[in-house]
Amino acid sequence: MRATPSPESSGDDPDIALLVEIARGDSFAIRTFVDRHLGRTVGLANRVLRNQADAEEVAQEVFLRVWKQAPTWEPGRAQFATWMHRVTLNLCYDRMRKKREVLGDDFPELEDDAAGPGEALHEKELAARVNEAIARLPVRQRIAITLCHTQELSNIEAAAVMEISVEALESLLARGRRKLKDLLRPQAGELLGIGQ
Amino acid sequence: MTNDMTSGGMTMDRFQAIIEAYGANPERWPSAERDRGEAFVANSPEAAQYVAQARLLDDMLDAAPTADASAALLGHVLDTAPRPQTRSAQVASDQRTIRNRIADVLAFLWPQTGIARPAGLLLASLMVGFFFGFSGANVSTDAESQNEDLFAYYFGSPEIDDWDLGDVQ
Repeated sequence: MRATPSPESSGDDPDIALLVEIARGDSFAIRTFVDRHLGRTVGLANRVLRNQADAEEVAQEVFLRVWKQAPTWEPGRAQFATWMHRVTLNLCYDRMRKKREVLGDDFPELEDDAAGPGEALHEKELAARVNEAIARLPVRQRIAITLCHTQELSNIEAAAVMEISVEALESLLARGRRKLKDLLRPQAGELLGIGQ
Repeated sequence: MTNDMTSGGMTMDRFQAIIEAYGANPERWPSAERDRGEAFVANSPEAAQYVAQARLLDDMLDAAPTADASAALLGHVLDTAPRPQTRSAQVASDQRTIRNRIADVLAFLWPQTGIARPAGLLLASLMVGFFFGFSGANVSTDAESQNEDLFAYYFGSPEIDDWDLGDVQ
């Protein structure tokens, strides 16, 4: 039975050693940590908020909390990255609430601006189309896909970040991927041409 | 949730569910089911077809990485990071800590006199100043190991950090 994810072990948490050095102000550790996590934090926040400026403000706040937490973090509770993902999502949710964005499964209709069948797509255009399609997914579906596919968290880690069961995560992923297939059907043929 | 797993094996229903949720790459499949899934697809042309279809969406998702951080954000995040302690600040901090610990020990040894702690602080200051004055010219530049050396010199072990002296002041 796969139900609620078990608590994550921090025994092999790759961030713990860095946190000790960060608390001492070690610039190499700080830079290593930032290189490891800043892009992922912004990427996740951007996928949730669909706005780069807001995502960067969230990332800034996440890192302020990281710097504050570093000296007192107690290994054994959770992986530090899981905590960071949770903080990121919570800050995103706060912003969305403030903007009165609905956290349900409603999402805006696609504008009919997809490329025509004969229109070639360059890679950047394709990326834009895919990101646009992801942005049209309900928020929890796009979070699930971002965590599992883009950030390559395991199903257990992603479920823990989202504070849902693995079954619920699987359902979000399946629904999200089905919707993406529908949204991206016009681009599927173009993708096959890339790299050939 | 239906129980679509068979003992030790994988059903087509469960395999489809895995592919629909996690895509074509076995690295993204649940670790507990990965081996069985790979064995299943190796022996089922129908399962291989599902994988091929899912790979198309995977490739599209791979073609769209998430947004990256701007240089301005990177700069701001680094600006707000903890500052390295200077050697003098670290030594001063070490001295304060050691002085207070010595004063605590003296107050513990002679709790009956009201002047034990002030006198202890004075004596501790002299001891710390004496030690750092002598050792500063030729000991390691690593202030932390210097601190531990000092503890070891006076108390035999740095584990004095674990002592609870809160009741004796």
